[in-house]
Amino acid sequence: MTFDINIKFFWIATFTYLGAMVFYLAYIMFKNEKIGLVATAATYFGFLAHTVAIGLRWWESYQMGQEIGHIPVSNLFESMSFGAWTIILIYTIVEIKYKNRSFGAFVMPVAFLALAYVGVAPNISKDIEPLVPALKSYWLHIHVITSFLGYAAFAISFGVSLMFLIINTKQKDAAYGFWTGCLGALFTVIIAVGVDAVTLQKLGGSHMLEATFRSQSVAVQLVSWLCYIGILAVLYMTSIRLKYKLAQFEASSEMLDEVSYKTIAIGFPLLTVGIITGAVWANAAWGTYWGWDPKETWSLITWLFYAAYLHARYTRGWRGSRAAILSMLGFLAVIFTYLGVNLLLSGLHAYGATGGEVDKTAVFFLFVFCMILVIYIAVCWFTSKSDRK
Amino acid sequence: MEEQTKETAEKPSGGIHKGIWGFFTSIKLTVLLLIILALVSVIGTVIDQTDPMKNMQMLVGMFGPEQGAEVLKLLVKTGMTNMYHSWWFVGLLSLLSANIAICTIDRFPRVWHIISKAQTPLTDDVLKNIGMKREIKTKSSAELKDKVKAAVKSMGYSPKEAVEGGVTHIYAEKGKYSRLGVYITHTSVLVIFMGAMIGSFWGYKGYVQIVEGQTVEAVTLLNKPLLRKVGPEMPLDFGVRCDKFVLKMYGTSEMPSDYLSTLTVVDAGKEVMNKTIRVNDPLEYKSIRFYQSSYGVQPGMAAVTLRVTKDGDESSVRDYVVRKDEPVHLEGTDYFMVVTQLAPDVVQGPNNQLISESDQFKGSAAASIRFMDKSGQFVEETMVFNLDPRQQPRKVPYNFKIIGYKGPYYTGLQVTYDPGVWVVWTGCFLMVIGILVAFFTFHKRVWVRIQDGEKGQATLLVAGATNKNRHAFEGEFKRLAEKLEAK
Repeated sequence: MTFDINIKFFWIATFTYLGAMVFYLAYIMFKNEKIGLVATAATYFGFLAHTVAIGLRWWESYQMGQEIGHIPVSNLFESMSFGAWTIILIYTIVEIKYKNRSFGAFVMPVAFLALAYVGVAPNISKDIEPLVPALKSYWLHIHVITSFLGYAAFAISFGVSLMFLIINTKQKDAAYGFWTGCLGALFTVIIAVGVDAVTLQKLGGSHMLEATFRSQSVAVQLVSWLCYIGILAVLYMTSIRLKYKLAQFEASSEMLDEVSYKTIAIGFPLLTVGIITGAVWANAAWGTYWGWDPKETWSLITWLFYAAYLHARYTRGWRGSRAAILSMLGFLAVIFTYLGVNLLLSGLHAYGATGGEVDKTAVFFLFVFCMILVIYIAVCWFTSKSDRK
Repeated sequence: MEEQTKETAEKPSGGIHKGIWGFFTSIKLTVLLLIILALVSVIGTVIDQTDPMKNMQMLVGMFGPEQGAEVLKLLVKTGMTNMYHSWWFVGLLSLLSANIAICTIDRFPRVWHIISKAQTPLTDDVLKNIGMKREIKTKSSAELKDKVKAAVKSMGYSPKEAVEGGVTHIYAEKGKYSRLGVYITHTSVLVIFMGAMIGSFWGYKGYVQIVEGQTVEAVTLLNKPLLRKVGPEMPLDFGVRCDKFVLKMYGTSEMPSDYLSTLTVVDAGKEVMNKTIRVNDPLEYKSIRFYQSSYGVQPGMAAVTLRVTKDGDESSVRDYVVRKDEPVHLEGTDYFMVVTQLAPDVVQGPNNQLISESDQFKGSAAASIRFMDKSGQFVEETMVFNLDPRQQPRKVPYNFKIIGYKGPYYTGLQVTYDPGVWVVWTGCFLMVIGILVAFFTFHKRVWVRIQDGEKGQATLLVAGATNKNRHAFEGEFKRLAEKLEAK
């Protein structure tokens, strides 16, 4: 008897989200209410399938044995699936409350990519595995759930902030350089990982970017870096058109700024409780509430970041574009806290994926990647007129 | 939050004092410190803080053996390999603490003044600065005042009343204590820092390994208390004995499902406490806590359980418990078997050699078994290891599998003493309360001025103000105005 019906529902959810994403993008392109309705309906249907997938997996784990049963958040596959679920949950609440579908095009890709990644990567196990003794505690439930709800709120803020920047920046602003640069880096990574999957049949983890940036052949590496710079240049030239498309929706700058702030105002207390429950659990399991473990430290870094965001809003001149940038950077910290630490660094939290030593070359390439991004943004800054909102 | 803050721009008549104070009351400084702390903390996640070998490997990989060693020396000198306890990191935290404390001292009196002052009727001065106001013309009547009060009450307020110079004032406020939220939050940060300091100065962390049946009375220290003079071991004024250690696996797999130690505390010759601990459930005595952390096979004292099946006869299976170096007779044969080597957890190295990974019994155990005939003559010696069950004795027609360990384990316990931990929990609790109050409660005020005019008309002037969440309050204000218009 196999316990993988939950995987079937997982795939239904994943592909439905893909459909929803396509419909949201079409909605933005054509501003057709019927398309928008289909997009929302697809979101709800996908969410339902996703909920069934998670619930079923919980139930199936108990079918495998009373002592094996556990809440499905214990490894990379389960936690990423749960993370995407919380993102869609908070997104639907925001969509209903603000009666606006345009954010969907920015949030749905995050959920879809998360599920697609853990669904497709061959080195990420989808099996239901029993818990190691250290995870057998009710703290697992509350710590993971509050942390992920916090991450989800920050993810929504990220999407909304991106939208704000698209609408409110001109080509010569540093902020324009920032968001086009981020998108460029993201597209490049997605394409490179796709090339990995197609040519090497390997995805992510320590094999990330092996077909392109970390290739054995120097020529391939060179081409990869040139493509990255090329993508950045293309986005710089063309992204201004997105602005006109998006400006048609009743998503005023004030509303976007408000939604971006409010989702952080929800995410921050949740993250705080997540960190505190983690500390209480650590104290119950290992005797220290804070050990400067990379995972703990990175969650603190994320927390400090959003605390800086909240304080910055008090200072004149830090609303609008600058706040949006901080919100996007904070989410990058969230991604690193959740994924980067497990995949690239070592420490007590590396239960899931590769765990073990620092993947030095991956860190090196990440560093070069970021340096190019920073240079791109700096160039935009220095060529900008003093026209910052 | 839309509170405007005033950057103190008083020109110093106290010179340096006012300058330094002004520096620390700045929120820009806060944002700067938070970002610096965040960025600096990243370094400590890439440079390993616990294991110098990992850093050496990383640096040698980046710079080569000689340069790598030089860089490592530099890192150690600047405190980068223990950066969260270094003077400059602690200094940054101190700056942040000073910033928080001074901002609080600077701004709190003003806020307390606002809170402790009773609300007063609307004056024209105040009215000038209010954006949310509306004039409503309505019929004058004796009950008008009561209707207005009822409308205000229905919005959840407790209205007060005053009459000044022929004008009736109805006014109300709620949630004024919400202004304290920010101060509770910031104080909580300082409380948490204090708790951490208490723990560092007087608390310690260490470990013990107790073999089943034995008692320990001292802890090997990993982290020493900063303000106490201690050696490498911290003596306890009581003893901890491990009565039993139990290891449970998932089914017949090699994955541990649970491990538990039954401990007894012996104080001044008396057994004062007995508890079976497991991971996530420690024992606490005299504020010192013992956590189930690890376990291992006590070398030289263990026995293996061998499952022996005669080749070709599945039903002949039989288990033997064999202690190292003790010959055991193999039933139904003339052979004796002796376990000469024992490793509970091995992996195969790059040259196919067996490398012992840990003391913990796992499915990858290995044993070397020597077979002799009844006169003591050597027959053969085989390495049996579960990673490769095809390796079996050639001459002796039986199949061997290691299914368990019997005999004394040692239990590995993490020991901590932290007098500051409850201060930290208090701080955490305050922080959550403070954040919830600061984000989700607001100070809202409404005023209604009733002015009787001529021909039986009256004018209602409605005004409202909030310190946060203007958008939602605007909706409330509209509803109040609509209720008053209907009267």
